[in-house]
Amino acid sequence: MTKRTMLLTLLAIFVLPASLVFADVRVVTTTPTLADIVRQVGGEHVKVESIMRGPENIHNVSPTPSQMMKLRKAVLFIHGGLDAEPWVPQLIKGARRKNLQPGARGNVDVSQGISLKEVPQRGELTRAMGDIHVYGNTHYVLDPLNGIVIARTIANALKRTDTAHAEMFEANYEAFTQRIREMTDQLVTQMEPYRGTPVVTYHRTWPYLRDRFGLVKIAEVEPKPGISPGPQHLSQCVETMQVRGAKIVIVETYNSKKNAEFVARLVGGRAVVLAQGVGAVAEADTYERLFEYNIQALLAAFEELGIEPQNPSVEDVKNNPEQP
Amino acid sequence: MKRTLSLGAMIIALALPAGLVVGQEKPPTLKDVLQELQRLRERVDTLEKQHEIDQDRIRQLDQPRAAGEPKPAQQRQLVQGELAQPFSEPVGRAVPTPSTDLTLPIPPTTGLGQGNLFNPQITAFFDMGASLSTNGENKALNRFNLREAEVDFQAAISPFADGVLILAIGEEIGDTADGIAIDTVFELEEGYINFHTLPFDLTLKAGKFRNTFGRNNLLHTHDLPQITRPLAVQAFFGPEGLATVGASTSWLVPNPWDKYIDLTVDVVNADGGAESPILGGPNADNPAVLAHLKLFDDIGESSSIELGGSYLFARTSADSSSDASIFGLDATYQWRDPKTPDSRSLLLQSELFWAQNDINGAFGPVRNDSFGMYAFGQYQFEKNWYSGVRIDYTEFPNSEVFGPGDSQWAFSPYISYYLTEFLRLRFEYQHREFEMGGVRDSEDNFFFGLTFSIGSHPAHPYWVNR
Repeated sequence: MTKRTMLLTLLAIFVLPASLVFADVRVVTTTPTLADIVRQVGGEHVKVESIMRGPENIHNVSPTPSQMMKLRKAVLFIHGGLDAEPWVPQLIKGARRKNLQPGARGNVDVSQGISLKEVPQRGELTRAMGDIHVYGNTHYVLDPLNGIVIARTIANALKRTDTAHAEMFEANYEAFTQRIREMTDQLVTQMEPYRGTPVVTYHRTWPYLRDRFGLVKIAEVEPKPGISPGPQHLSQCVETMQVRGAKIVIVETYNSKKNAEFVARLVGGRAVVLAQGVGAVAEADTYERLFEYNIQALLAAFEELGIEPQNPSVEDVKNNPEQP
Repeated sequence: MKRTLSLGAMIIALALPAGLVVGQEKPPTLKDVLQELQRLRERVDTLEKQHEIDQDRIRQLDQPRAAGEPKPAQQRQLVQGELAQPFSEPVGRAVPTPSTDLTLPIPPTTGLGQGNLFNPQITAFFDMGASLSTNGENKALNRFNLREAEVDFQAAISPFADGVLILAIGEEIGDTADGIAIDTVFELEEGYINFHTLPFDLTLKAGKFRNTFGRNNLLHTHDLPQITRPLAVQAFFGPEGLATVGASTSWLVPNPWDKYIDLTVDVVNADGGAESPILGGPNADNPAVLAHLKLFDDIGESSSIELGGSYLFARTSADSSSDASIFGLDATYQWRDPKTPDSRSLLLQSELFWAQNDINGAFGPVRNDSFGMYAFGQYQFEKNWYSGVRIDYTEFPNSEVFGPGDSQWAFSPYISYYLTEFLRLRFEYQHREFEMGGVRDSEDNFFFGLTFSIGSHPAHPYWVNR
């Protein structure tokens, strides 16, 4: 072998794969929600796949070998962190890739920088409280403004990985931020007349969405998170709804719509299935459409059930100068 | 001063366009102008209040920086222009606080160490049962059973290796002349180090572990899909299955289709333990070798199939005069309803076992062939309800106890109910027919099982089917 061919071979070995990496940043995410944000921030230079399809319960996924094979090809593994996805360690180990292990550069936890709600106090952690999360409520993607924080983390990770397209990622992030802000403002305004409307939720999935769009939770169908309700608890739910004049039961796609419907019917209301993430229902196929779908579903239910807009309180007028 | 100026500018900016708009339609009356002024005054008031709130917020955000954060010199270099982005405010009512730490990776928060910090992840499993049999003479089948209490410790030893310790206390039921005898057994079920990211996609396990023969042998008692372990697994590997001491390496076989093909090779002691029907005791000639090839693939979006083949070779005596070979085939099909993947699923699984081993005959070792199999189907019809049927057939490779030609088969429908993820109730009915020493008989057994887990959230590998 001449020196020249050796050099060429070396070049082929080292330079080619590198250029391939630059051509396409391969990203695998745990959820379709994160995949969509990656798609929006990464644009054409990123190829992204999600482990979950969408309708399933994020807490109960069993990663399969084919999903491990999928993850093996990734340069970045983007997940929700905390303890929402207890199956992630197994998935990562199964992929047998050093750069994706916890603490490695390719392992990106988007929960960083998020202000969590429902953080348990110390000494309060027992399963007597149901299947609670130790760091706080993990469904933070359901506040669209948290999407901006997530996009920031994702943009940073992409910029580190593919420095050649850093400016493009930054510009995409900017545009995403702008879209989300405008959408949030618009949806908040649409929901404004209903601020303070009492609702019942099935699982403890919705505090971020509720707080952003001004709904008040008065009861949960599950007696404790992750515990299926018995007849006694359901009748308590109905009683609370009657007292507070609530007519809507919000339920995730993977929980029993039957139970939710049962409770709602007894007070002349109805169950509203909301998407807990992108892909949970067919209509919620992007991060923006996730919120548009959910808010439209709520507004449609308000109208159908003849729920009167709540009178805006003095406090509301002060905070919302745009409202008459 | 500055604030007055900016307020003034705001008023002009807001008032001018408004004036223009009004002007285009018809000349404004004094009342209109006054009204407009009043409206503007209110708007400025609210803006001023908003401004104060924002200022407070900025002060709050600045505070920790002043108090606790490292001095600029100690901070790692930030990429130019990055800082400007995170603090820009969204238009909504709350301000998210994006991270400004661009020096990823951050400490992982997933899985291990929930509230335990550097303690290992600890989960305890408790598995008890009760049984009732038409065979009233067999006391083992007519009593409450403390099947097993198990404690799992798992933690990373280093970035490239994990440690696993699984301790179990259980009842072992033996036969004596006077009936049954109960021993409380404390044992190390598994204890090993696992190097999970070696070069060439290899992993290496060393210690005591459940051997990779087929599917069911991998499962601990509390993870079994039915109350009883398949009769064939019990007949070929002992009541608890096979777990020996040694080393195991697994390799992801590269292939042009990019499918999951795993080859696992165990090199272990040939000592199958006191209850092993085929393998020798501590004096058997070491080592035993086991190979398992596994293929996994998705069928469409909602189904998957796994096929496996296993082979175990062991010498069963000290002088290598006798040996045993066991072959195994396994197939598993799984389906999940794409619409409600958490509450409707189907699982079909079957394993075949075939052993060729030397047993002591009148004139030295005699070759003995035996066959065993099980197959079950399990359907999840509600979120927390699973029902299924298992069919068993097995001959006995350990023909020193059971005569050649001895065999048994069983039919066992069962139902499982999960009160929560951590608490399960299960009922199983078993009709068993057997021929032992030329005597044919049958019995009907009812089993009840209660299993719970406490402690850290156990993650289910995909092959543990609830």
